[in-house]
Amino acid sequence: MNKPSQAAGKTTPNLVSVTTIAADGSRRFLHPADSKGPFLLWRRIASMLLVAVYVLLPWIPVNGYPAVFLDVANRRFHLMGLTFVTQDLWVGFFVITGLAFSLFYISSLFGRIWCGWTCPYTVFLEHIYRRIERLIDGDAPARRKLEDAPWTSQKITKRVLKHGLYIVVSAIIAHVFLAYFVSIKELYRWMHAAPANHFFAFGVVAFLTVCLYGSFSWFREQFCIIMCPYGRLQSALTDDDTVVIGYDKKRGEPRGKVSDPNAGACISCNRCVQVCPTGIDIRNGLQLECIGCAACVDACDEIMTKVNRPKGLIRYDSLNGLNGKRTRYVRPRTILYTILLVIGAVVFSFALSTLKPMRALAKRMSGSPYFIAEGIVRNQFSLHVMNERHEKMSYRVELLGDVPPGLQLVGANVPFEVGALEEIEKMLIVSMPNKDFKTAFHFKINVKEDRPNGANVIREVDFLGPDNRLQNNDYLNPDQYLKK
Amino acid sequence: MQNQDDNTPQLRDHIYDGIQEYDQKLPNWWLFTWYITIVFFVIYWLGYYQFKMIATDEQIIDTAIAKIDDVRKKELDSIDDKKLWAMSQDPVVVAAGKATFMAADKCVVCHGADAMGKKTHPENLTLVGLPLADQEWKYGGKPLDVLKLVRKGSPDVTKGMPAWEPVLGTKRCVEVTAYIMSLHKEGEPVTVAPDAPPAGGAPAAAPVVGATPAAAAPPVAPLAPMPAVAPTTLEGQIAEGQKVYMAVCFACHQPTGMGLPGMFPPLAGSDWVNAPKPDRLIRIVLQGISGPITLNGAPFNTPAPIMPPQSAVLNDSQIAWALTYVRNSFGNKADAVTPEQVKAIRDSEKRALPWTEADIKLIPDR
Repeated sequence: MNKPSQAAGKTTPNLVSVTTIAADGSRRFLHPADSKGPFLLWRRIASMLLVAVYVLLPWIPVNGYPAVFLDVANRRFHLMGLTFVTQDLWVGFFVITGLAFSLFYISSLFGRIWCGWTCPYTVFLEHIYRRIERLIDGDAPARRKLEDAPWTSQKITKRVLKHGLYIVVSAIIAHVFLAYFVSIKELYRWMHAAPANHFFAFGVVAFLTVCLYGSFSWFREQFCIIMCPYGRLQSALTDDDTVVIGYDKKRGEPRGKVSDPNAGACISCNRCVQVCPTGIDIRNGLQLECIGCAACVDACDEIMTKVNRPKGLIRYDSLNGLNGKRTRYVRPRTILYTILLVIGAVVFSFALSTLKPMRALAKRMSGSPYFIAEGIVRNQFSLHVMNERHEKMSYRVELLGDVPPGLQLVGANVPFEVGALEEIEKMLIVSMPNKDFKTAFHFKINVKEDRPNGANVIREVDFLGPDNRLQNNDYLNPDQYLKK
Repeated sequence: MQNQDDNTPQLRDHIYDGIQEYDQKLPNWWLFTWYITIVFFVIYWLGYYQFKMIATDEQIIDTAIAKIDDVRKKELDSIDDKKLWAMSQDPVVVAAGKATFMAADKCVVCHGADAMGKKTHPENLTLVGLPLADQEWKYGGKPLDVLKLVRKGSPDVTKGMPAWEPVLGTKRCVEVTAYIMSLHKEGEPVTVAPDAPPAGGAPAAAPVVGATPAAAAPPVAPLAPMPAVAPTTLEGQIAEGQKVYMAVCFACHQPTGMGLPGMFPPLAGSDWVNAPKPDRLIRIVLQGISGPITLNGAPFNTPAPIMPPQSAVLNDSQIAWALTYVRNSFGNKADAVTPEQVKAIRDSEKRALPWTEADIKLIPDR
């Protein structure tokens, strides 16, 4: 790791290679300088909010469950006080496609704003891990100097401290992640038990910790540049009216000294290159490596203020805007995307509104389709009732609508209870006198919550019995049919 | 190195269609992960496919199921009549069994709160279960007999007693049995119900006809009597066949051979019945057939017919005569079927399950 930093000093970013990968394929480790300014401030505030949301969600109870608790073991998914079961997961289609589509929508308007401001990878790297590095190793020149320095006790101390903190933070992030699936309470209990007791969970957390540590201590923006598919997708969604971070060539060129009256606004201070975490020169134009972090905007504005020139030489603007044209926010693409987004949102709301706090399913019991005893035809069904409420609930079963005379539900007057978020399987017997049975027919079973305005589920099933032509004994006498 | 920044790659000389390429190296970390996948592939290929050292999903599931079966077997093996009688004296076990028995959707529905079923409350039509608290038993009164019935359900599938082991689990089945036995005394006199199946034998007739609606029709057709002397003429065979038909087959296919529309296919004018060779017909009678079929070129599938196997009910001669009758009645005309043909197929056919149309079409009928 000693050589690359020296090389980095001589390197000029260009459009044909990745600055962080040296010609021999080795990694060139960057030490981006600190930027200061309003964008950094707002990004930091946004990031801290996001980190707070991430860490706190499993702690906040809503309706007796954590705000987000994806209880995979019991297949109950608690989200902001609502509980979904596996059978409701089809609604997840709208959530996932909705998130993807929103990303497209935002990207077509504002480029890779997701990457720079809200992506968890950037948030953790830029606002936690790089802060730790800054705190212990100092600013960019100090970090470079320390990297080249021999292994003195001071350097060893700093390295141990830095990587120790990295590992601690990684472990915390990994534990919070697990808490989303097992709840904080359970996680706390597991943490006090031997790893072997919950070996799989322990393995997941250990693996995540190693991945997070490796990613944020060493791999860093290599992930964004080479691996992340969303970055590529967002780049593909950018057009000339998309707001990106760009350099105003018309104003900036030709570059020259502050004192040179013929030169453009850019004074070739290289500050924008020094602060860039992916090591590009934004003055070369929009590039795949740019994650839209706006560090160069802050850096350039700071310099421009110092030399008494207007800010915004590097700014958020579209390619059209940077060329002096007007940025069109309303264009066929954004109109279409808006319409599609609204349609998706309406369908999603409708889908959500069809979810009921209970589920019921009636199926014929295995064995004979019907039974006859003492002049009664019996059909047996297995009734599966799932209570999706957070409280114990009583249910009643009744026959619905116009049923043939004599058809009755056996023991229907007794309501039965199902515990909160539990499901039961019970036997349902429907009977009618044999003499009233003419032919097989459909009928409806209504399973309803035993309370005013409760939810209900209606299931249609068949009542089967012997064909009425088989019902009297004369029919069985062969003499009636034999040709004499 | 030329007068060049080390970040600027060299262009290769090779040009194709005006396109040139830079001489770039892949990142080392990328190559490293690639090499790891190659190493992984070799180890996995050897371990999984060549030396079978890594268990397949199927093996893992089989092992887990074997483990469950093992535990269940151990639970059951340790139980005998003596232990069950002892359990019936244990208030904790009996209370647990009673709680299950009395649950709103369990035993109490059919057998009643006093476990006497229809016996004490004949006016209550829902109590269809057999009495359990008296000393008359249909399927044996030993605790293990009762446990078997609770676990597996009634051996007579036309009765309503389902198998409870899949619902309750072995432990609760044992508890329920203990509760039932707590209503009895060890060594009390036991009587056998008049409709009990003969000891050691299969339960009467019912399981053979299985799940067809006809099975549940109350009067079960008497089996066709065998004549003292086997008929030798075609007329004699048809007459015997008619007797068999009117005892067994007619229930579904009707005395007229017209079947019931939408339920049982007609035999009159059927291309199946009039086939030159009876090989398919014999198999259908022996093993049964289920699922949709094509009849005279049109689908017959509402609902799909289920013909139960008759191999246990009818002997070779009866099947041969019945088929001869069917093939020479209702306007049908085809060759007679001999008992030898039926015997040959009964002996050689390995299939145990009812046929499907796709499978039986593989048997030539001409």
